[in-house]
Amino acid sequence: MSEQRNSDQQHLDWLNDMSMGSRQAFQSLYENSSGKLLAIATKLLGRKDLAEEVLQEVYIKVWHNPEVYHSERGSVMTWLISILRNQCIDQLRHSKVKQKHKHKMPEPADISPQLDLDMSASNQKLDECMRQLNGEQRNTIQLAFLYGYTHQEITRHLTAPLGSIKSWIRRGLEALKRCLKS
Amino acid sequence: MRYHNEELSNELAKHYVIGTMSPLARRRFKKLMVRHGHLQQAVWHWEQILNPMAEELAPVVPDSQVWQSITERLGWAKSRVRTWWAVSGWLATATSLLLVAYLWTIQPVVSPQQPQALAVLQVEQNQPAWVVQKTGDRLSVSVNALPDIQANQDFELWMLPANGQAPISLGLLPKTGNKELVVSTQLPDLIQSGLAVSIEPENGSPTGTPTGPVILTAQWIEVSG
Repeated sequence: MSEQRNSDQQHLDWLNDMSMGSRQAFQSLYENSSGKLLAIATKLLGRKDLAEEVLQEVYIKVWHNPEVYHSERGSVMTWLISILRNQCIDQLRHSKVKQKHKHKMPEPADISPQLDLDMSASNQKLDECMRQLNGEQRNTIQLAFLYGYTHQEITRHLTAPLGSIKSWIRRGLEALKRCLKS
Repeated sequence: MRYHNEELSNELAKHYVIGTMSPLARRRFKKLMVRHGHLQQAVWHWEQILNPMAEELAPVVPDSQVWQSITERLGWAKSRVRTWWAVSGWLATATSLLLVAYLWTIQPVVSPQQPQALAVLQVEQNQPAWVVQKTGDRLSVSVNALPDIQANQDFELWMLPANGQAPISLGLLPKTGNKELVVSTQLPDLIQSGLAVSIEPENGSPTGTPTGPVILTAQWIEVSG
């Protein structure tokens, strides 16, 4: 946990230096965070080349507006992920990009608490809470949040009624929130 | 106002963050967030719950060209040797010039002088929002497809100095028709600088630096010495 705090503080220091015009701090932030951000964008957009384009936009925005960050947004990494995800989701919902969004749908059997995630080391609480969700709740949350699927896409994928999909996500998210608070 | 209902705010924020809102609902919600701070806070709350899940994905190392492109777009590095990316950039520039040429033919020419540089400000690929021509100390700006904005907001154009210093305001962009902006002659390296557009309160940034989201960045295309 203290390692996580050190990392958060380091990101914050870089951001502060960037607001004073430090290119070195910007490069350090890029080198430290771009791998994680690219993983998220690639998962959402299904194509590394599109993900790298979004990555560029995100870092250019961050360079020009480091002062937009404040502690209510969570850690610097949480803030960066939010900027990136919003940009990816906006692109995904844009019809032209949607046509390019043809990445392979994960099979339901492939989706598990460990799908693409290795939370055992750094975020045990989140891992524990995800495991406490029932299978449908966990699957639908991951398909929406990590893969950027709409309700309709999840409905087609899991061949379940729309009402059930919405309910699994809604209840799953509330259960996750309660568990993380406990 | 029913958006003050805590349960409703929580539901909307949850669906915005997880990404299951329809495109229209998403656009509306973004506008509501500007007006209702508690909606923004509900979104931040859900981001802090869910984003750590994304943080645990196995990292994917970006191609070294991504950093190169970022530094080029910020005006810190010169263009690279010809690679596919460079060719793509050249093609994009050529497309932009064709668009500019087209737009130029359908609008009156403001100055008898030849423009020194052009810039196509686009939020989405192949859809220019504004076209800017620089002639002497004047920027002639024409609207092509205005991005979404609140009635009480303006778009502000910024010069991004090549030396990495803070952005310098070049003025407010028009929401309709054409507009001329006069730039200071103290900005000799304007063409070597990048451009950015931010959304600001009505009449522009109150601080002299961008306060709202930057919706696009662009580069000048030099057309004469």
